[in-house]
Amino acid sequence: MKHILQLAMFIIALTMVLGCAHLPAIVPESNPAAVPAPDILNRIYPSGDWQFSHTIHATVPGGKTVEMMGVSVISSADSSIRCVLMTLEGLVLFSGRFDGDLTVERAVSPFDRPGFAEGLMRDLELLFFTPKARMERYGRLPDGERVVRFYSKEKVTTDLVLREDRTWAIYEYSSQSKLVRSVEARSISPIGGNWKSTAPENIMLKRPGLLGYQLVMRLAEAIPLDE
Amino acid sequence: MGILKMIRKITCKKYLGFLLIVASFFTLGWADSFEAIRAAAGKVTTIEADFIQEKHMAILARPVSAEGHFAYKAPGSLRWEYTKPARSLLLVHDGEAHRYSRTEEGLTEDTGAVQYMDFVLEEISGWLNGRFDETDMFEASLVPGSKVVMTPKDKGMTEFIRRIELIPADQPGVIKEVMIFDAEDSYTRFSFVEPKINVPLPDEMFQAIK
Repeated sequence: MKHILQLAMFIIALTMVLGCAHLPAIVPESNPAAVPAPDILNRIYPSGDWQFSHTIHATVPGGKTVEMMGVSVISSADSSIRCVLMTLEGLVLFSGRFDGDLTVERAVSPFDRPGFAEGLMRDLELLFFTPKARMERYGRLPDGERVVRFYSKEKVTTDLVLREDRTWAIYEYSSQSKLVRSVEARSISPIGGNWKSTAPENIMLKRPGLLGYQLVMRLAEAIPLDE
Repeated sequence: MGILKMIRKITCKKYLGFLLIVASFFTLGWADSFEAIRAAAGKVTTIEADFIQEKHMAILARPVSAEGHFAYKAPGSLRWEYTKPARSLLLVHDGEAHRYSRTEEGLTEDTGAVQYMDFVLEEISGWLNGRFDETDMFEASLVPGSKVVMTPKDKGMTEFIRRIELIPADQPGVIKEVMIFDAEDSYTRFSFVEPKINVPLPDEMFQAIK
């Protein structure tokens, strides 16, 4: 019996290890023309002040789903975020801001749980702001996709995968090289008919793990605030 | 309490209550006193209209908009449907409520909504008779010719709704705006577009997604 339990524990542990995606190696880009120009990064990460509204279909631990609206007012100049989560009827579930300091203005249970606001702001930073990197590397992933790799001083690695069809993905890895979060952006559209600024119509943000979640975000509105 | 359960609870028990208030107010002839409102109650048997919803908050740079359509049929049938930015539907008929949300498979039913509707339907029976000043949920005050203000009696409810203001149109029995204040610097405005009164509305409208 004891051996069976040990075997079961080993299998579970092995499954957990194998189930976690790890940081892939990249092949440095030999063709300088393939290296992304800065304006490509600007196309992915919005420059200036914006207000984005998304409908969010969230799948929470346990597999249950919920629909809500998310509104983000962001500024690339100072990486500040103002964020509201509400029901479609306009009932506010959470509102807060991050400008270096986190301020929660309103949060009803369970959006008032410790760590929720911090996690939400980290998700939004991942979506909207160029990673705070101490170095970057350009190359290709084993499957041939182009990638820009950012390393932070906290040893967090962020891969920005750029595809020929203008779609993109972000993979964030912990200092232990385990996948922490991922973003898949689909249906990229120009804003105001100008490809200098784009916004994905569909975003899927995933956080793997037992307490993981998945957010399917559909763009409702992208408003430039600088104009 | 889980996220899903909490949202269902708030949405259904507290917020859907206001939808039914809005719908029931449409069935009233407009007046300058609650007595006149009560006298006019019941003259309108059905109402339907498009609506535009705007969320205003100090933290936002611009208001956030949504659009939809609603239909009401006395004594207690309601269809409240969002068309933008995402389709969502609430159907109330014959004492049963069903909420549908968009999924990858289309609109699918959210079964958590039903358990709270008995409470709301009990309230609406009073409002339908024009007894807004006798409801258990809200304290009603009338600013003659200007607006009706509904203030929650339950302290717990004020966390979500501070007050509801209903602003009449010129046409008797019609309101043009509903404003729901969840804080002094945060409110949702519903503007109703060309409401149609006493038009025949089939029961299927309140039973089927369509």
